[in-house]
Amino acid sequence: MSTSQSSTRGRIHDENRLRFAPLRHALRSADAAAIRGALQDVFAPGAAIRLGEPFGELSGPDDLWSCVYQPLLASLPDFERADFILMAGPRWGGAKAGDWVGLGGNIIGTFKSSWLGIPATDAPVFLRYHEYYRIEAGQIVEMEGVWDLPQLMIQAGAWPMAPQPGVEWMCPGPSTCKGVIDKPFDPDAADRSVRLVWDMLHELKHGDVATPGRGLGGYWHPRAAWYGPAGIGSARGHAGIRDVVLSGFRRGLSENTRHLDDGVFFGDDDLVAFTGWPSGTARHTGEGFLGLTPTGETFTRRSLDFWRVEEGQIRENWVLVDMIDLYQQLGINVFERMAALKHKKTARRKPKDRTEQND
Amino acid sequence: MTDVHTDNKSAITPLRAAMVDFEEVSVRAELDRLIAPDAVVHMPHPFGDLIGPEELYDTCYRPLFAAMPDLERRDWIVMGGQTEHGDDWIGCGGHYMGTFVVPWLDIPPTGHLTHLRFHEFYRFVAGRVVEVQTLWDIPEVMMQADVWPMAPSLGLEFCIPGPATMDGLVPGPKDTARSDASCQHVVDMLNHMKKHPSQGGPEAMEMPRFWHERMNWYGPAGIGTGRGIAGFRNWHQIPFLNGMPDRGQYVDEITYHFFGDGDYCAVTGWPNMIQTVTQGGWLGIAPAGQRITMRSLDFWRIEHGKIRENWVMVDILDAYRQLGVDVFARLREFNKARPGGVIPFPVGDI
Repeated sequence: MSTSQSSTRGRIHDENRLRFAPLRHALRSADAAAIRGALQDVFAPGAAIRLGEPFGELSGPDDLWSCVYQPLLASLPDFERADFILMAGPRWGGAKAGDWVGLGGNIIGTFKSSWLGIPATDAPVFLRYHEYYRIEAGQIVEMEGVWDLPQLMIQAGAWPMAPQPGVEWMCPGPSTCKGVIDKPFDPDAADRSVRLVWDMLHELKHGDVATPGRGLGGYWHPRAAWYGPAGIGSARGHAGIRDVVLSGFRRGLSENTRHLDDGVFFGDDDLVAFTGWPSGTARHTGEGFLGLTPTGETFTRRSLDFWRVEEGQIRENWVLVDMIDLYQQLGINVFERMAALKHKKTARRKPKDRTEQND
Repeated sequence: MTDVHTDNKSAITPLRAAMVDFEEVSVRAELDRLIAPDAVVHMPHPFGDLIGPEELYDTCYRPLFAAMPDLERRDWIVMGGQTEHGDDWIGCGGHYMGTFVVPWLDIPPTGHLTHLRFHEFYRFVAGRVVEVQTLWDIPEVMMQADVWPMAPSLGLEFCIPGPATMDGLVPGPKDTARSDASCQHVVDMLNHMKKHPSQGGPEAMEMPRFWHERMNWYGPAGIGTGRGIAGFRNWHQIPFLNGMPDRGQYVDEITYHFFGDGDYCAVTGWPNMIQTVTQGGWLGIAPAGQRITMRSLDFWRIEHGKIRENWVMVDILDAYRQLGVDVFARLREFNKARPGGVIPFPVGDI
């Protein structure tokens, strides 16, 4: 590939990042008409949208508005999305095709009325999102995303499952403050970043119960931060990541694989993104995984990850997993149990509604 | 005129008194006096089955006393009676309390007054205890230390009170007719309760016939307390039966020990429930079709012909063990990121 071809290809990704500016702007406005209009402008009418449980599969911007943003705006009437990552690049690896954009950040707003059955707090809340978009002919034709709904349940005091080993917080964006990339796409830098993560993930999969930290040394910065989904939480440093994340996976799961060849990798400067729907498969055979009794079930997981590379090492990693889908596959309906728990809290808070608990 | 149950209550009084101001020498002496050397002592997970008073002290009381140097026992139910099998039992319900300053079973100390509910059943032969079935509510201590590593309770967690009537230390002489009536009321209630869900909906249980509309159901930590029939149903029974709909189907494989005393009824059994976790919903557990046994040691208080209070203890940690989760192992995982160690006693300046 000649330099001029390379820069022409690169311009597509620069344009793709810019293509999101109106939508990103609208999503900070809490203005229904502006959001709806911006969605319609950038999404293809029949775009395939996968946002995980409980949203299911949606088609096109009108679905995304009516099933997701409209109810969100009703419950968090002043919400805004604060993006901390915007990146774009071609699908990495051999002859694989497709141009992708990744967005990560936090939705922030005042939780005024119940959403998805999660009880309102009448206080500001936050909710992390990771989203990948495939662009064709200037339009979004495919979207995958995970929104950290358990994080909202925790803030509402309605998380019905076991507590998490890691820290729960509104995790920050890249510590460089340069996660929203605006410099020209550099294919060499992107390739270097993806290759490091690719190699690391191949090393990581060799770890087992006896070597829970395998894959960290040599690839991860000693002070690396791992920003996990609510239900697992965040961890720092090799020992923290090993104890909070890896050891539970190693003990509780067998035949744990990532779909590295089928999934989508793309890089942009020092950032790397990886998704798959599902992105991994495992069998739940031992204890140690989320405090669950082993079920023997084989389950898949939907996860969307961002990594930031610093001087040849992974310094930060943002991970979201569709935890509600994962629990569902293991036989637990998180929303049902939350409803029971919420019921209790509502009954306690609103004595006038006491009769509603009788059934 | 005296009777064997009143005598048995008297026989256990010195041990209870020694534990009010807990000291090793006096407690050991009273345990030795009361409990036969070869008595089988069933203790909750993780203690397991022990033999005789010395093993009981060394395995259970010594570490508890070390953890709470000002340990105190408070009974709010002491009752006795004979079961249909002809066995004489004494049942005691109450709390151990103390300032929790040394890690106990890897639970980090709180430095504060901490309570541990007990339901303890003693089988007597000729004035001596030959068998013990005891539950201590260990998850209750984990919750006070804010380290319960499992899913949250649906019911209320609090320091469960003794009988509202404050007459749980049932005096002699034994009122046999009243005692039998209390016991029969509970047995009838349970026979109706087991009709749901196998023979019909919730109405098959005829709960208003047996339960006072303002009854309290004091469940074990991990489940919590519910008030009224709706509270019992929503915070305990509905998820319990959703997860294990075959409850009450294996009664021929277990032995209940029911007995009444005045307005009170008790049951013990090791185990006294068998069921299969086939659906989600109970304790947030992932169902995998495991058949488990449960140890449920309960007291009921009858008021004007209806159950007004029900104290229930279940060996939740043993249920988790059978389901493949070592709650203590998960607790230790969390402990990696917690400051450990001992709090000097007394706590703070005097």
